[in-house]
Order: sequence, then C-alpha cells, then structure tokens
Amino acid sequence: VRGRVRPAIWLRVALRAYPSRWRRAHQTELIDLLRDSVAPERTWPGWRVATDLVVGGWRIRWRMRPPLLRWLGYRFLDIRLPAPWHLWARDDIDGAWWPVRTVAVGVTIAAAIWLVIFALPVPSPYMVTPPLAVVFTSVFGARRQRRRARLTYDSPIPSADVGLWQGGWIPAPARLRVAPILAMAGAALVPGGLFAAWALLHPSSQPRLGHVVGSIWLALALGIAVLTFTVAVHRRTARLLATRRPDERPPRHLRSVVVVGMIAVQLSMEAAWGLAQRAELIPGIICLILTAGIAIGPALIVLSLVALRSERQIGLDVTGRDLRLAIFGASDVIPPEPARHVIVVTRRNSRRSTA
Amino acid sequence: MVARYIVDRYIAGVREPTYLILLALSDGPLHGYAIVAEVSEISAGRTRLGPGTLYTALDRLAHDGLVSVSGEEIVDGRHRRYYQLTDSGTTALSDETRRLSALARAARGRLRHATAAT
Repeated sequence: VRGRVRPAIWLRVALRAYPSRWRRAHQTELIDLLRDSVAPERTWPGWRVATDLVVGGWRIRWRMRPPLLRWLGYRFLDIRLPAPWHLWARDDIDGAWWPVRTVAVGVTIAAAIWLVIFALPVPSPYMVTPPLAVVFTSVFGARRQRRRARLTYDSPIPSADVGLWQGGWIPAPARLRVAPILAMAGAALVPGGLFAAWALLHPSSQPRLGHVVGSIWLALALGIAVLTFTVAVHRRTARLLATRRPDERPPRHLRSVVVVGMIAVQLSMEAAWGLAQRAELIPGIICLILTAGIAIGPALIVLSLVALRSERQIGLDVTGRDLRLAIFGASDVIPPEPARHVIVVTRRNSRRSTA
Repeated sequence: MVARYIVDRYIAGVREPTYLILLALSDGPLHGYAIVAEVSEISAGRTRLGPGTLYTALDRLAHDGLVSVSGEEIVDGRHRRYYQLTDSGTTALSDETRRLSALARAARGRLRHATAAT
C-alpha cells in the first residue's frame, strides 16, 4: 500500500492465501486489525493467529471457486464460466500463478497422451512429449489475453480494476542489445561442455572426443565467465525496471521457479529416457534446449533477487514481459496520467461510459 | 473423525463465531477490531476471533446479504471499515436466536428429567 510501512515477510506470505481481489479490498484493514490485536512491539503474533489467517484465506478461495465440472471445463476446454464466477475468473487470469496453471494443463494433457502413445507401437515416444506439451499449453492454456478480452465482454470491468485491466505499459527503445547475444553465446558453451564431459565418461565416445578435451573445458570456462558478465548487465536493467514499476502489482517471484522447475522435471524425464534408449541423439537435443534455459537463467535470477529485495510493493514479472525486457535491455515507460475513459461493452449493445 | 473435524472447522465454516458476529453487530455498526472485542465480551472470553475467521465470516455474510459495509474512516492511522446488519441479517439473527432458545429449552427439560430419574 502506497505510503505505508511494508508488512513483515510472514504477513506478506500469509496474505498470499487470499485472492488478489480480496487483498486489494481488505488488506489494509486486516493489517490494521492485526496491529490493534497484537502488541505493537511484537512482529510475530503466534502460530494460532498466523494459521487462522492462512486458513481464512483458503476458505475464502474455496468459497469463491466454481464447482469441479465447471472448473474442468474452464481450465481444460476454455469454456465460459457463468456470471457468479466472473470475479473468480478475473483473479485466475490476473493471478501470479497463471503461467504455472497454464503449464500444468499442458503437461497434464501431454502426459495423458504420452501414456496412450506408449501403449502404441511408436518408435520414439519420448520425442513426442515436449512438442505436445508446448502445443497443448499454447492451445488450451496460454490464451490469457483472449480470456481476458472475453471476460471483459461478458461483464464490465469493476472500477477498482480499471488500471489493472487497461495495461498501459509502453515499451521504450531497446538498449544493451549485446547482453542477450553474449548470454546465448555463453549459454551455448556451457551445455556443450557439460555434454562433452558426460561423453568423456562414456566409453564409446572417448576415441572421438579425446583430442579436443582441452578446448571443451576452455569453452566451458569461457561460457561461465560470459554468463557471469551478463548478470551485471541484467542487474542494471532489472533495477531500472524496479524503479519504474508502480506499487501493488501482485508479487510474482515464485512462479518462475515453479515453471522452470516443472519444465526441468519434464526434461529430466526425457533425458533419462533418452539416455537409456540412445546414447547421443537425445543428449544433443537436451543440450539445445538447455542452451535456451541457461541463456535466460541469469536474468531470471537477477530479476527474482531485485524483486525480493525491493523496498516497494512491486512484483516483477519474472517469466513474462519483465524477463524479456531484462534480457533484451529494454525498459518500460509509464504514462504520467493513466487514461480515465473506459469502454464498457455489454452483450446486447455497446456504449461508452466514463469511469 | 479427523476429516469430519477438518471439514467442520476449516471448510464448512464455523457457525458459532458467525452467530456471535451477527449478535455483536445487532447494537450498531462496528469495525473489525471492535467486532473481535465485542464477541469476546459476549462470549465471556470463550471465543477469541482470529483475523482469518473474522474476515471469512464477514465475507460470507456480506455475500449472503446479511451484513453490509456502512462506512470507512482513518482513525489514528488505522483504516476502519464499519459493518452493519442488513434487514436480512436482523431476520437471520432473530431466527437463529429463536432456534437456540428452543434448543436450550429442550435441553433444560431433558436435564430435569435426567436429574429426577437419578
């Protein structure tokens, strides 16, 4: 909350149990209630109060969510929810864990198809899963803007959410374009070196790779050095972003960890299967994928650290636009005066109104 | 047994605190901390509302149309939002009080019989 002391870490974590819409409406009031109830010198109110706080949040979430069948239809088949759950849908679309839910949907569907494929006589079923996950994630889950636009069509934007749903970020000209090039170059060297190290331990590969061992280790060291350098560049950009972000955006520190973790688990399964089946082809593909992962790694870590250490109530979007901006060296410019005219579209007729 | 307790305690909602909140609001609009203090006084210190329990109950009551927000103000740097009973809330409170009274009467009758039998 602007102009107020930032709540303690435990309280911020506990408040995450509540839906974001509820937090926007009641967070200040609830924090002040805690200040009244608990002695001011105490920063920790005890496990009873903290548990009650978290359980209360989850109870509100439980009450707000749609029934199971409607939820399944909405989540997996993108079926519209009726009006009583539009507020829940807004929270869902704007939620910090949206990418996680999206990836989870894709991975779940892909895993189900994977099981079917394994039952069929397909020569390389493990090759099918990553593309399937990507396809289903993009087809069924990732249409955030489309869902947002459709929801806006179904029910007008609440006045409290006008700023959130209007967007308003204007990309500034990109700078420091050398950073992503360096990051990609360094990232390409690292998995190559790791793969070579693995291959050296593999008896059948040693005769072919033995004469370039020195070069491989040099590439590995160079790659790590370049990545370390890019950290400094990303740090500068991330701090620039942090100073220009408005308050009260939902913190999104953890979602990158979960998304990357889920993808890592999937890749690890693929790698294990591939290594068991073919010694060289699959590790090579894994190296290519790891290259992209390692390239964004430094920016990801720096963004997370800057967001966590920031004095203000900001949350950098470390798997979305902010990550892209940090990697490509661009920054956002916030318009000095946000637009106050909102176009409200209803199903029967269209009209303009002023918020 | 444990599952039943969890459902009653954490999912289905707590009925007694909800009733006490409605009772606390029967005298007029109150803010969150005042509701906590009033409930503690009504229950002779037996019920101490946690912040989660309070706001879950208020959220549900507001959703059901039994309470509404009557106003907001800043007092000593504290944000106060006042809640009040609606007409439906007053009716619900009266109905629940009648039900509890009938239950207490029935309990007293049974206790008298049990005492006489012994």
